[in-house]
Amino acid sequence: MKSRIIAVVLCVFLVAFSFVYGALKGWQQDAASVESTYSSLQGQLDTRVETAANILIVASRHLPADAPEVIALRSARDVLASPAPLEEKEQANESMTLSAEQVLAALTLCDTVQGDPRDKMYVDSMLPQMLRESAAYTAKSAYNTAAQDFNTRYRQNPISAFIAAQFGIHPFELFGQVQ
Amino acid sequence: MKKICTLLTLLCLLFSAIPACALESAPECMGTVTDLALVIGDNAGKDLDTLCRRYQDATGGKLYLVTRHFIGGRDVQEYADTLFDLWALKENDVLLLMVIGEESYSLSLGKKAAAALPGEARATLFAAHFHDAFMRREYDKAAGDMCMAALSRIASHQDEKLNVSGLFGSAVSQSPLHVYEQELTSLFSSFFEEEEPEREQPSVLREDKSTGISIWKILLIFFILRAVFRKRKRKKRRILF
Repeated sequence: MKSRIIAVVLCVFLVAFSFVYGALKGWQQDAASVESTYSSLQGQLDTRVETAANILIVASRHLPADAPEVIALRSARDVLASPAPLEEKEQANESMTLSAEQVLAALTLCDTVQGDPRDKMYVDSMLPQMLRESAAYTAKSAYNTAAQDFNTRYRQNPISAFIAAQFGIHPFELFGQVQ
Repeated sequence: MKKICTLLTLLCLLFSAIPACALESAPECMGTVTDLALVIGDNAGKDLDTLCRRYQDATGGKLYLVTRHFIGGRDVQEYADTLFDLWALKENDVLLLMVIGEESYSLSLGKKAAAALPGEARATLFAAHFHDAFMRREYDKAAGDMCMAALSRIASHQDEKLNVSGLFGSAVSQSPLHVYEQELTSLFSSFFEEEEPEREQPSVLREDKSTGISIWKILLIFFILRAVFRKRKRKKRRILF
């Protein structure tokens, strides 16, 4: 009789353990796939930071350091390079595009740029192309889609989500306003 | 006790985890000259190849010249050192990095080569053989003079003689800066690589993510318990008879 009880208890324990382990493993795999899209988003944000740095380097040779568009671009670059929340980074991202375009427009009007073939090439072609390429939002939509799906499943499965939360798995922050 | 141990052993078979690791991809090395900014002329490129071969014959090390328009504001020495490590260069190898748009440059050396050219010596060589020509945008001359000076010094420190005669003697016109799609492609290709799609397991083998129980696990538990209770029944029958 005693051994039967032990066997039953073990069986219940096995099933419970299997449930907890399976739930945790499932959530970990889902979180890992969202994080893989986040790493490509982060890579794109890093490209934006580098593009802003490149524009600022050329601007430093021809524009005053206290020009409003230069200050705005520098400030947007600093936010993108910092560990700020994603929503703040989205605003900085938008601001960066606007201020970078203003800096390039100001550089185009500079006589010193027109007289320098190398910097003229950077201002007329290379830097605007870098800015356009880095502004593509492919990574943003892929990350937001993956994060939204994850968050929806998280809300719909409260019991297994509770288990996942005990092991540090939580809903993901979205990058800016999701349409 | 035996059965419990059996059960526990089988429990251990229920889970396994294989960590996945990712390797960072390195920017492509194109030989002695990786001229992504397209500022090195053909003649200078050939002379650099010849200089590299002579240096390799003398010391076993190799020369690498890398040109970029921009490196996104990163520290130029750190960037050169990272490239040196990513390309797995050796102890006598030399990497000269020229960042045209940022007007910066650096030299990264292997351990043996670095013994011949400590920090201050490098700065002196740059000042004497490189900086002025670089700022005048005479990139062929700057690269040629700096490489000859640096490699000669390293070879002489190792009691070897480096023959630099007949190199970088003729005037070379710089290549025009019109073609830059190559650098832009290499700059963005590492960020926009396509990921391989994950292979889906057949539905029978997939775990139900909400409960964590798969059909295989249920069957396994069933067979284990059946084996355990059958043995018990046989024992009881033997005792009765």
